Amino acid sequence: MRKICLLLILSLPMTAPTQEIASRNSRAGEGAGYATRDATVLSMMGWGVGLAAGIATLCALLENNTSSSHSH
Amino acid sequence: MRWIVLYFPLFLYSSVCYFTPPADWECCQPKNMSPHIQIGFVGKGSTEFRPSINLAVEEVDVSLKTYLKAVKQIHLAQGNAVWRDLGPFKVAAGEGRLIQLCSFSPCGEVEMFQAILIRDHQAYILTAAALKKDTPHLKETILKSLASLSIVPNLWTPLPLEEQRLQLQDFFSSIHTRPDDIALNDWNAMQWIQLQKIVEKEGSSMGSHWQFLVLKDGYAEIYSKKAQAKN
Repeated sequence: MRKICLLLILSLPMTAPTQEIASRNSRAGEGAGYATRDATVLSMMGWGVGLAAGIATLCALLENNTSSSHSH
Repeated sequence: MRWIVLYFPLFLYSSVCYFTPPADWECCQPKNMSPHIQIGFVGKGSTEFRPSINLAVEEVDVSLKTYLKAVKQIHLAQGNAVWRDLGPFKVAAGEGRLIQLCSFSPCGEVEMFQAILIRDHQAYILTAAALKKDTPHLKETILKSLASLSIVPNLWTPLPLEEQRLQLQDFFSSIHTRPDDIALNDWNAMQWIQLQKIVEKEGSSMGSHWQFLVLKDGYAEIYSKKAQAKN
């Protein structure tokens, strides 16, 4: 039982959020400030991958973003 | 012992933030944007300026009131012509605040709505932008999307049916259980296809941000170094 508890405690550092969160080395509000700037950029650039094909397109987006890190 | 083994996958995730973008908007994972930006979606507009919505997350150690003051200063310094605090705004994860901004772009006057929620030392910021002339027919859709901001302990929790939750949970638990007679590449490909089927079938009502997060986590787990070593 003690071993199991130890294992669980050791595993806690692995419980990082699935979403990466920018570290706070700067002043409060920066996230919201950048978000408005980037919203304008996003709207003007029109970046995106069509969702017409639904899941398949989301998968393609993921595969394209990570294709350099491993092979299938 | 069995109880701990069964529930161990729950420790793989802490809180997850997601929202429901408008149904026909396109997804993008910005690479050249602020590190605070998690994901963005763009819709169709009347000009080249397309309506967009993005989710940003920032670590904070201040209250919502103090955070809003800081945000106002930054926004006004950025040259936004109008900054309005529209007051408390209920989102699925709790009570936040809604801000309205106006600025100018080469395509015309831009109107933005920003919903901010602070929880557990994190500021969750949803920002929607559209040309002012497009906002009358988009406003309701945008506000509905902003209000959908949810924070959940893991990705299967928000699924409506227990059966669906268990199916997704079981999938993540079984990623590293490759039978000896199946080659690693084949196993990974099978798992990846199976996950896509689960997301398509069970998560059709969850919106494309939730779908994207499940696929992203599953993909990372299937092709992780840990999986390669174990398999």
